[in-house]
Amino acid sequence: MNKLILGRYFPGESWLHQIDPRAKLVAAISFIAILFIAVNWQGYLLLGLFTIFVMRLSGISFKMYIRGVRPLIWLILFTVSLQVLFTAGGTVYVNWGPITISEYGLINGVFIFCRFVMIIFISTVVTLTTKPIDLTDGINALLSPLRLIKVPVDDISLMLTIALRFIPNLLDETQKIMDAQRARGTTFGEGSLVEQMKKLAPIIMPLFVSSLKRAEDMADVMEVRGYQSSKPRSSFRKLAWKKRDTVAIVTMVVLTAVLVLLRELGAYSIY
Amino acid sequence: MRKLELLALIEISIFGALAFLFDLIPSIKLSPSISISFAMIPIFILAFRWGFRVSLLAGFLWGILQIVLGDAYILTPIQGFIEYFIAFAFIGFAGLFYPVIQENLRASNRKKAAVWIVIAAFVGSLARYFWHFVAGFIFWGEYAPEDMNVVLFSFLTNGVTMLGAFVFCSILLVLLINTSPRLILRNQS
Repeated sequence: MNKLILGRYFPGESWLHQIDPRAKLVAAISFIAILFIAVNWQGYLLLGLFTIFVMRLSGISFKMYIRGVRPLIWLILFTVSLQVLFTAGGTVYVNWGPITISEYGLINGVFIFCRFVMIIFISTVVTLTTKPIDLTDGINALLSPLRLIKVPVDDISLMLTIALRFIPNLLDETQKIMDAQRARGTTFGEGSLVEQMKKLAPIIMPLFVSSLKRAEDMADVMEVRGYQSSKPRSSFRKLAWKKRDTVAIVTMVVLTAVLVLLRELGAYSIY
Repeated sequence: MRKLELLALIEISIFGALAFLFDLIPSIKLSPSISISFAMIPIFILAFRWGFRVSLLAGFLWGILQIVLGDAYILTPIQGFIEYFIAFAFIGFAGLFYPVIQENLRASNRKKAAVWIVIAAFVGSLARYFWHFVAGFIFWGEYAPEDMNVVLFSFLTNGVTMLGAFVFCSILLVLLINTSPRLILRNQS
C-alpha cells in the first residue's frame, strides 16, 4: 500500500505531453484498431518502429513502460504459448502428441506477443503523458455525442473530476485507519478467511461514515454557492485544438494508409 | 432524463473513488495468485441507498476511473470496451432491489433485509461477471487454439472469481449493514 502511486502521470514538457487529450485519445484508440491491419512482418516492423518512436518522443525512461507490461505478462505469455503450441502449418519443428511447434505457430506467437506489448506501450504513453484530469476532459469530449441519447455526460464529467480530487484524501484516510489498526497489532493479508474478513470491517466502516459526511458537506457547499446541474456549465480548463494536434491525427491517417499498402503488397503473409 | 440530485452525484463520485481504492488494498488472498476483492461494496451500498440509476452510474464511473488512472488492463479494443465501459456499470443491477431492502430495513426486519441484500449482491455480481465472461469468451475465441473450449474456459475462470467476490461482498455487506443501517437509510427530508 505504501508503494502505491496513484495515476501514472509523469510530468514533462515533451511534444507528446502538450498534445490535446482528445487528439491523444483518438490517436491511441485508432492505433489499437489499426494494429489489426498488420498481417506480415513489414506491417509489424512499421508499427514497432512507430511505437518506439512515440515512446522516445515522450522523453520517459523505458523502465516506466516495462512496468506497464508486468502485471499482464503471464496472461500474454499464456496466450502466446497456446498459439505456439497448438497452431499447425508450415514446417513442423517439434511434434509431440497434441503439441506441435510449427513455423506458423511460432510466427503467430511472435506477432501476438508484439501486438499485445504495443497495445500496452501505447496506452501507457497516454497515461504517462496526460494528467488524469486532462484525460477526463478528453473522455468527456469523446462521450459528448451520447448527449443525444440523453446520457448525462456533464454529470459524469463532474463526478470524475470530484472522484479524482478526492482519491488522494481517501487514500490518506485509508492509510491512517490501517496504521491505527496495525498499531493495535492487526496484520493484513494473513490468517484464515474469516479472520481476514473481520480485519477489514473496521477499515471500511469509518471510511464509509466519513465519506457520507464529506458528500453531504460538499453538496451543502455547492448548493450554497449556487450550483445547479440543469444550467450549462462553464469550465476553468478549456481544451484548445492546436496545429500539433492536427499533426498527430494526420500522422495516424498516414500510418493507416501505409499499413494498408503494406498489407496489399506484403511479400510474405501467413494468412 | 431527469437531472441527478446533487447529493447523489457527489456520493457517486466519492464511492466510485472508494471502489477504485479498495481494488488496490491487499484483499483476501486464497493463494499468492488468486485474491478476491471487496471493491464492489461501495457500489452495492449506493445501490441500496439510492437505487438502480445511481449505482449504474457509480459502477460506470469506477470503470472509467481505472482507465483514466492507468489501472485498466486492455489487450484488445472489444475486450477493453466491454470490461471497462459496460461490466462495472452492470453492478448497478443490484439497485433493482432498492425498494424491498429499504422497506425491510425501515421496518427493522433485519433478517429479511439481509436475505435481499445477499440476493441483490448476487444479481449485481452476476451482471458484472457476465460481461467479463463475454469479454473473456471473445478474447479467447480470438487467441486460443480452435479445439479449446473457450466458453467453458471463460465461464470457469470468471465463475470462480465471481463466486468469491460475491460471497466475500455479501458477508461484509450484511455485517456492515447490520451494525449500521444508516449506511443505507437516508434521512428523508
